[in-house]
Amino acid sequence: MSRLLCIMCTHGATPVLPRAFGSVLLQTFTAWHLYLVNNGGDREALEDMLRMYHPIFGDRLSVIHLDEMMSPAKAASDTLQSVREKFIAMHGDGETWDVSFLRETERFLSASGNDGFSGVVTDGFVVREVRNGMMVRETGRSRVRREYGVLDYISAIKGLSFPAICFLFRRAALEDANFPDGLLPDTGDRNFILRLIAVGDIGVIPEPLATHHIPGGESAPAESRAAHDQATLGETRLRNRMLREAFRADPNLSVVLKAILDPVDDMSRRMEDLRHQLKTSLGEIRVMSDGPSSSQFDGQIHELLRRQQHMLDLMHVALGDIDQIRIVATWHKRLLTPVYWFWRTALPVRRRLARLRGRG
Amino acid sequence: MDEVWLAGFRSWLVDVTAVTFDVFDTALTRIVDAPVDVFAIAEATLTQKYGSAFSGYAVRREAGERKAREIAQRENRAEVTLCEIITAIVLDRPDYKFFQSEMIEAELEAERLTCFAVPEIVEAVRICTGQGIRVAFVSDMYLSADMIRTLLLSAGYDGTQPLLVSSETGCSKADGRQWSAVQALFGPDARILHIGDNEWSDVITPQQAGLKALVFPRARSDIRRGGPLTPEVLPYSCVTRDSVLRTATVRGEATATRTMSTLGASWGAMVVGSFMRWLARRAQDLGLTHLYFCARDGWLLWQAWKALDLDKKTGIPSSYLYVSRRSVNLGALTTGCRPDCLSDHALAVLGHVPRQETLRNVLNRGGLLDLPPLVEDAISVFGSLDATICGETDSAEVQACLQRHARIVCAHLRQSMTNALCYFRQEGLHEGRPGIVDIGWHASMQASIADILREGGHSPMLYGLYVGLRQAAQSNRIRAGWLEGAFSNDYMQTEHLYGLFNAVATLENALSSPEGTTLGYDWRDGRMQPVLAERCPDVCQYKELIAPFQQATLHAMERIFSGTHPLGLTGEDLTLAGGEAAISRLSLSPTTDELTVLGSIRHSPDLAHAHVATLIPELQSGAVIGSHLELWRREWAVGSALAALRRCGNPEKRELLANDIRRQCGYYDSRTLRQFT
Repeated sequence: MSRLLCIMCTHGATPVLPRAFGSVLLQTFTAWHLYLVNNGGDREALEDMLRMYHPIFGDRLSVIHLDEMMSPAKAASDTLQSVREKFIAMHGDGETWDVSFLRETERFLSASGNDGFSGVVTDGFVVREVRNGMMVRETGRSRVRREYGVLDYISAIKGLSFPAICFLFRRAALEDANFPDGLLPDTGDRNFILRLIAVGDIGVIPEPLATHHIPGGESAPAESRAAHDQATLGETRLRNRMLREAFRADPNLSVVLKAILDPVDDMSRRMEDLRHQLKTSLGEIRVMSDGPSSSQFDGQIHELLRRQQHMLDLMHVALGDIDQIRIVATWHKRLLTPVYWFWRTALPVRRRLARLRGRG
Repeated sequence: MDEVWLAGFRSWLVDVTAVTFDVFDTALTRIVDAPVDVFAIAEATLTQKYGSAFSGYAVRREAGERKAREIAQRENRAEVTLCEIITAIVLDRPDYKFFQSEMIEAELEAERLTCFAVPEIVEAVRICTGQGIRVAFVSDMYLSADMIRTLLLSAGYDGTQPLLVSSETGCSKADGRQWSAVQALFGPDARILHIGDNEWSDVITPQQAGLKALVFPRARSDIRRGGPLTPEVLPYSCVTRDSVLRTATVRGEATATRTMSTLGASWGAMVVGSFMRWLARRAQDLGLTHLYFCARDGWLLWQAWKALDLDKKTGIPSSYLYVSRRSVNLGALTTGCRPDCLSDHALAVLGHVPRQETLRNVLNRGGLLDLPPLVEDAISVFGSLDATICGETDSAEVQACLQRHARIVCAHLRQSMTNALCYFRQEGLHEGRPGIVDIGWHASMQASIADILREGGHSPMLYGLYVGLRQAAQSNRIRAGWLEGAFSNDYMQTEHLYGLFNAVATLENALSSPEGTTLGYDWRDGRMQPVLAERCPDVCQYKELIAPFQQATLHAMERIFSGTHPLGLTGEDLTLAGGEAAISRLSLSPTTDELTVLGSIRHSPDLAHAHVATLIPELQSGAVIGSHLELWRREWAVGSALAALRRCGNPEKRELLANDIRRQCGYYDSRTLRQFT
């Protein structure tokens, strides 16, 4: 009986799929089930490739063929409707795990005392590679390091994200996070992390147990571009829907958001001005590098540094304000939760009233 | 029983009134290779009874003794007791506080299980008693006299002889102070002969104290200061000890042949045997239809498969596949080339010259010396075929030359590919579920075989089963098919595999066949036949070192799998964990004999076999040892490090070298690192 569900979205028999299969099949933790979602790709080509792997997978593989391409997140969330495993991992078809990824992450979430964690993320490598048909060549590698402990909530608000390959999370946390149906974002996306961290902490294992592979050097094939466009569209629609729901529940929130966004917008404009000035000054410095005008340089540099410090101060203030607003908004929401519940429950009655008033 | 030693012993008794015997590795010896392996047995016992909290106990036990000795040294004491050692362990692990008596009992039980009487010393004691010569036992040991007496009794000694133990007298043989207690025991006029295995404690210090001394090296244990110290290493430890005791001579001399034979009966049997078990199981699980053992590194593996009759037992037929990087990888290069343009990959393989080579060798490794226009052009660029080339600039020139003659080079590679394709079809690689068995490490040959088969219009389903795989094999999975390694795979972090990767050169040589490498394929006698290079030039090495190792491996394996091994080992005891522990123990903590013999093996790491060097160049008499060693260039990093340190006479330089080695090996375990002093 599998305790852990792994979802892998692919588009037909992509050349790097065997590498991803090896990553899952050679895990030291073996109580997993892989759902391979063929997102609009060539069904026959994929089944042909899978002939070699069926004896190795045994009964731990389920293949889902989608006739039409959809965003990978939608494809994944549709798959999640029909499965019951306790832990979930999203494994890209171009990504890889260390052999002990599932063992360490499952052990972390299963440890007594860690019930409050909604998920766990590991350190990893980011590998840049050039893919040319069946040839893959690594062109660069870097390591992503995190501090041991838990992810910082403030960092999540500020926009922290990580590759989905580094993450294992609980199915229960997903349900508690209450994503709108069919609009599950990419697992490493900040919206996803924010929702999950609102349910429970996300732990960190500071061991590089996953590798995020970034193809480069060749233009992405049309199918990947289409999938990427679908994903971007899905994320935008999700964000819009989440904001629409929040504004409907609390019309004042749009005013609050404007109050936050205006200084951020202003700051962005000033940062852009600063960048432009810095660029101009650097150009002047280059021209004047042999000249005797060093005092003029010093003056300009001092001025730039002063302005930069001012902008940083403004940003700190704005972030402080945002934090305050977040706290107030959270309490606001908590206080109004019964009202929201009543309002949602009374939907049938409201509809009937609206029809009676000629607004249905 | 060594009658020669006993005869010598009798001759020493002429003018002697008392004889003392060392206890451990003289009167008693253990069935394990190194004394510290007793701690691994204790760990196994404690883990079984009290759970995973005792996982790693053996290493902590060793560290605890070290700490206790440091404390004793500060207090000017020569010896510690077992209780002090346990106390030192508990300081580090307070959760062990309530298990102290269990820890002591586990260690004593392990000693009881492993100690047995050495026949020559039993007889020597009997001779002394018969001649009225007084006998006593003297030991430098942390165990108490009662504990040691129990061990002597269990082993068959009568227990009536006096016993002096350093943990109780506070004096040791090593510091020379124990001998006055010995003289006091027998009286000032006694003429005492001491027998023991340790050159310093049992020969030099008693002689300095006025006693006679006779060394007894036959039962001497090995000291393994590095590598794994876990229960997994115990099967290898016991098998090694058994082999060593059976082959030990009076003076403890070991010829290179005997050392390799001993290694084969122990290490070879463990590693090859555990791999065979895994291979048979995986081949059946995968439903493979045929196994192909690849020349030349797969030769011993194939012999083992046949010796164990696994064709019949698994129902999977097997054969030997004549392949090499040259015969296969070169042909596969055509798959990416156009007739008038060589691919970047082909240019990189044919024209990359990372180390100094002659132009002749560079062209020869691609079989390109038979293309006169290319050769003439290359000579016009570099001067002559014997010109030495190396580095990026020269590589670029070679590649430019190759590209100018792309048509003929491509045609030549195409011919290689076609011949290889015919051979693979003839052998049946294009159908069913064939398994490729080889030593490792990147699976580039399997990828090339698959490329060639695809070029021939087939859809190969190749399953690669290897001794080990490196991370670079991941990129070959896309072309090669399924890959699996017994002791490592390409999804493991390289930093965790240093034990295996230190053994790569040893494995490649020990498992290899004596025939020449496969140069290509030729149609002869109605079949596609491999064209082999001249038989391995180092016939002498094969005869003296490799063949004895391989024969002993096969012989020991057959006995284990048939249930007739003298230690009672069966196939079930040959686990991958045990094989891995054996590999790491030898590669990370070789004995002096193992280091010398294995280090003398001549090995050729490059494709063209143009460069031949010994595994450990630091053992050569003319080698210069500085304060820095580029371990990443060495075939056996730990071997080179240990050899360099042993040869380095200058203490300051030695310390610098040790620091340099520890810095380069920073990710190794602390036990292995501690060897580098």
